[in-house]
Amino acid sequence: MTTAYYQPTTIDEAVKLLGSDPAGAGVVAGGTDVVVAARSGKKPLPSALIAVHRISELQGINRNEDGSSRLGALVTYADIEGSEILRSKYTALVDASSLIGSIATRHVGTLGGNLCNGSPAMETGSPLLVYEALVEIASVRGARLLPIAEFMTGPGTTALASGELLTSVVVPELPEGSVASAYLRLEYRRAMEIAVVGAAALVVVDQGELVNARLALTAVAPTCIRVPDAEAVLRGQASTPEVYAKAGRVAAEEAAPIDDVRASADYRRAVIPVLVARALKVAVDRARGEDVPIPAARVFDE
Amino acid sequence: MYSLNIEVNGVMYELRIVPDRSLLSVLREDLGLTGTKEGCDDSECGACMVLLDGQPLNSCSYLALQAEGSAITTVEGLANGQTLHPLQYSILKEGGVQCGFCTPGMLISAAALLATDPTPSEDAIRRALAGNLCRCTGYQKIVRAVQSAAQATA
Repeated sequence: MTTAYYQPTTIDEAVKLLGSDPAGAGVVAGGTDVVVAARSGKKPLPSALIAVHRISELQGINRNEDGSSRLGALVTYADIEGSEILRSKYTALVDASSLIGSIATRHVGTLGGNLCNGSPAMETGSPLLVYEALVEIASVRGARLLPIAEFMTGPGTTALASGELLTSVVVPELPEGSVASAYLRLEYRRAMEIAVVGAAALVVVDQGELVNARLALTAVAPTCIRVPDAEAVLRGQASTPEVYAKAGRVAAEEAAPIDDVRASADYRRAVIPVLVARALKVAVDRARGEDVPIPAARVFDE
Repeated sequence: MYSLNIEVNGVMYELRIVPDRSLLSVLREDLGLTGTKEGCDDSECGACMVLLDGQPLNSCSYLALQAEGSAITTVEGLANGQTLHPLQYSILKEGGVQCGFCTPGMLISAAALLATDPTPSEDAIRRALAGNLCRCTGYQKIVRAVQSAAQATA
């Protein structure tokens, strides 16, 4: 039963509220997960709602002096879609954000909410893994930075301790060279969908060679995961369909999918090599300066 | 009980509500604006869509208190007195209404689209309406209605 509602306007105020009632207080931003879960009977609303949606410190996409970018936890998927910095440099994150829900969802749903909801099918997880992003967390005890891979701990769980608030995501400067990224997912419909399987790729290319490659998979393990063995297959190799296929097969072996209402584990495993190969192809095309539409998923629709 | 000050279709309201109320329930039950529908109550179908400060929003899954200080437009706010909004006129003319349950949400999404893109492509219309389900499967006529409203106002 929800009995209290607070609408703090600063991070300080919010973490004090969270710290004073660690058992009962819960954060709501856009409500697209928290309120929906409550209305569908999955998880009741917290007894004390801390509505953080008007905290201006949690907003904005800004470039730091060291070349990294800071995305406030309240940045919406629509903000990500509309950001020139992100479209040109962190394209996989824009691919992913523009696939989420509908226009209505994307205007209120937030990056911080997507991460804190902790779904293994979260669209923004794999792009942030290949960027090796960090999350910034605040509490009355102070602030801490955590690699995104450590933030995601399992289905519906995160590394957030009680009384802590996710405040921003820091995306480091990209590796040097001809670099680009892409995110694709298997979906049964084009809107209001959740990834059946997703794949993000970041590549650095030199002529026809993959100087570096990072790969992450969505909805095939308890969290979004990097697949280091598949990445190792790619490094120093020619950017050819045969190499992509081999990396895809290795990635499938690194995944731990489950059977659920959207797909069987076997089907998910069978689809991983297809998505990995496509994500690599789009990332390489983009790294060579080709203009691939966002979201890249639409390129493979027909 | 918490106080809630919102502007709905140009009228200011001051309400007292409990914190777990959805914006949809306040619009329908407290303000009597029943044009906005409760379909899935799960943010899937778009029947509850309203404009919150000009942007489409699933009001079933938005806490009313979070709308404090905002301006909301419901389907009742589209017409100008007895004069229908061009989208309302077109959806009637093109036969885009069957059971009518999805119509308010469709009109809201279409109105938001035309406000930013007065001459949308068919693809843009379909993308703008992607969060609105019609179970009579009358999409062709709904899309045509948006095209014809765009032509009428362009």
